[in-house]
Amino acid sequence: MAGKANEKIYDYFKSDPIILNGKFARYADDMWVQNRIDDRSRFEKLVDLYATAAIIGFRKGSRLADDKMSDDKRTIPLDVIAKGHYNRLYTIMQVILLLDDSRGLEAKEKARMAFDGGNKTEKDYTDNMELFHSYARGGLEHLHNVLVRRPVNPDDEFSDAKIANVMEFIKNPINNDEFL
Amino acid sequence: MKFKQITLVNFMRYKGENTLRFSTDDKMNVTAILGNNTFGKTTIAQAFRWGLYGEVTTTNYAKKEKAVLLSNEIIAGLDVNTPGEVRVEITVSDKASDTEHEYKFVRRQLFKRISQNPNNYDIQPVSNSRLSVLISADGVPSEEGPIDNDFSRRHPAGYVQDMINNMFPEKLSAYFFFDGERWNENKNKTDEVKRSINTILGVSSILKMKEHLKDGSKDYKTTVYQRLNRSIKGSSKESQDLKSKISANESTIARLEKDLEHYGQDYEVAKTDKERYAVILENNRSAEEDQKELKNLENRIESNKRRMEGNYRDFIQLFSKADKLLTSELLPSVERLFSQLDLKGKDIPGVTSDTIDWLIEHKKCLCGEELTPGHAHYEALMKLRDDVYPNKIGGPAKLLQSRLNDWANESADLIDKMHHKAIEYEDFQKEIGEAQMRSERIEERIDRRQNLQDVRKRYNRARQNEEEATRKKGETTGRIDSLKNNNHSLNVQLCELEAQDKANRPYVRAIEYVNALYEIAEKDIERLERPTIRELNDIIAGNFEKMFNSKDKYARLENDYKIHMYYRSLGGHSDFEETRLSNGELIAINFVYIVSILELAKKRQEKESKESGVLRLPLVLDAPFSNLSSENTHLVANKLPEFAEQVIIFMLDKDWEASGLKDYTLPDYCYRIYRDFSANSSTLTTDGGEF
Repeated sequence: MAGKANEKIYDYFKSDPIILNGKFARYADDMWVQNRIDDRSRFEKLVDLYATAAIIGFRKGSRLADDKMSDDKRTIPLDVIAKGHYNRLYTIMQVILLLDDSRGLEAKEKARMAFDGGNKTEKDYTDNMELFHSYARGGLEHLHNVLVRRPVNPDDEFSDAKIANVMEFIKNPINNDEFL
Repeated sequence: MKFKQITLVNFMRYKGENTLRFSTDDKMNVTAILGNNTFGKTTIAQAFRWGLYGEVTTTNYAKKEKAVLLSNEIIAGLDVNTPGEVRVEITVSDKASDTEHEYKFVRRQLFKRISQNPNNYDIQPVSNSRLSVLISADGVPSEEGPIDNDFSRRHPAGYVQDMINNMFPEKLSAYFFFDGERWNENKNKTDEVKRSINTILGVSSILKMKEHLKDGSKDYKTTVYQRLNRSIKGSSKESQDLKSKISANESTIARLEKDLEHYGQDYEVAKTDKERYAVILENNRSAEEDQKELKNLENRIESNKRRMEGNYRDFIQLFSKADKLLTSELLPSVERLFSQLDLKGKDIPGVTSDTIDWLIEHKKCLCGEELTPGHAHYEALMKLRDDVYPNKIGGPAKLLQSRLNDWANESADLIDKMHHKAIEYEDFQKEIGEAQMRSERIEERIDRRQNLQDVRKRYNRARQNEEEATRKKGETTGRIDSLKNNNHSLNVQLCELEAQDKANRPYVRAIEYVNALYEIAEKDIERLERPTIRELNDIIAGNFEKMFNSKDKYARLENDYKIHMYYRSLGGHSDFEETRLSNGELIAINFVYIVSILELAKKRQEKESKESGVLRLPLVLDAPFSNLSSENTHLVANKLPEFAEQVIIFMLDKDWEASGLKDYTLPDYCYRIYRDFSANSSTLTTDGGEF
């Protein structure tokens, strides 16, 4: 029984906090400020940024490996996820598991992954979380490019860079989206 | 002068070391400490008092004589031979010049238990408290190291305490360490007002003499005058009474004549001021208009910037939900995938694909049949495997569809809403840009040497003072005439009384001497007080106007040392005094009085030391809003950061929202007090309010 008590439960967004390393932590710092919204903020909370990054990374088909080259680190703790963000992240995870073609899975296998309500195997859990995080990292870099680095274009509707970039992005989030 | 931090070590309910850092930012100058009643907010205010002056004050919960300084938890662990230490460290920063001087004051005291009895928690001090200071310049501690208040080779005893009293005069501490219970005090504040003005003037010793001679006080319950009067006996008592009345009337007449003279001076001062300001205004008519417009533009830019910031916050809050829009857009793709699956399936209790996988793995069916590929039983089970959960996922799939539908509905007008906010944002930006350009154009041509708006205010004030002095001259002349008539009739009565008893004469002479001495003291004080009250009234008028932004009412400190509020009247009538003040007005007036006294003290000290910024006091407020409505809380709270250089405020959660102080507080400087009820101790964290 003692062994069972120590056994880790593998459940998406309930077992491990979300950690952003290296350049991804720095991207986050360029788009979010803790506890307040100021000129640098493009998102109110870090979890808002991460959720959007995951779905946009997936829709762009952009996956990136983690960056452990520096000690920069930002964390979304489990208690923050539990306070009103679990369903949000879990739903995005389900959609990604259902629609992701990068692993060559059959429709049935995808559905099994997406709706597997019970305890996952360590392998399924690790593989699927890495799938989610890799898309989120791709999305973070993409958001950084379009929301922070992008210069204002004369054709943009708005002239203030932070407003113009957000509006141009939300009006046309994906070019050549294969899922629509 | 700003408080940088305070550290409490085993002080009252704070066990161990607790440190509070205070905001020294010029704009975001508020530090808030939130906590429920009895959680320990007042204890921190007490730590300030003890740290600076070595004593605590009486509170709602305990008399100061009964206050136990050492944490109860620490006392419980002590024995009679091992003392426990209480320590408070207060760091003060002074950035008056280019150099930042830092003063770290440390007060400590040892206590021990007085009894071996484990249930007796009484303690006694081992010795007096010790005070020291460590001075640093730009972070570099002075070579001298910490200076002890009582045992220093280079400095006289009491050196550190004197330093504290120069920075934060104890006699004014009731104003900058402000207890919330006093906001709506309606009682006679005359004594307190007199005391504070006389403290600023430094005439407390003359006051003591007056109390001893005639006025009486808690120190002088029987005055010299009363004692002498009691000694007069017999028939001459009656004539002495008459004489006293005549003498009192004469004193009053003399005082009123003096007043009349002062009102005359006030009138002359006000008239000269009015004429001087009128000339300046006349010569700068267009410049005044420009300055006024510039001020309006600056206000408009400031308010538009705030609104633009609010608008950007709304914009970002909307965008922060973009993930729902982006995810719900994939619903058609999800439905296409579902169409490839048989969502219904068979619902056989307890049978899932895992059950069948287990049977296949063990190569034997429940009926005992061997399970090999191609075999009928094997194929039947594999078909069944496709029909059970999780391969058939009807329920969870519907749930996902429904959630994505909800997200799509929630996000339907997201882009429109963001678009609307974006347009508003750029409109504000445009307005600010235009106002800034207009300001720059005006700036190029105006004369900034003189603040004409300020001159206009001074002109108006001088005009009011002139009218006021005229009214008072009239009233005083009337009173003098009436007293003179009264004395005439008293003198007639006196003549009819018999000659004085010789035995009473020494007392009578002594009383005359007391009266003469008292009059001299009174004149001395008046001579010093008059200009001070005039100056204080100017400050009160300025602050009252800032507070209410009202032209139809004003506040003024009168001869009775009380603040009166008036409504201006038109057509030469005297102004109407409002005697039934609303709670809000009362609080505002008390607040204006507090900040005005501090401002006067600052100006006086600057005048004496011929340098500016010597006395710049922070405001430390303990539960100032506990008795106020939300509206009044907002009215007063919003002015605090403007009036004081630094605001440290202890308050209830319910008042935090209403106060609006969030706009002046950096998140790192909003603390929360937690109370451990079992140990009756408190701790501090920096997660105070919602930001």
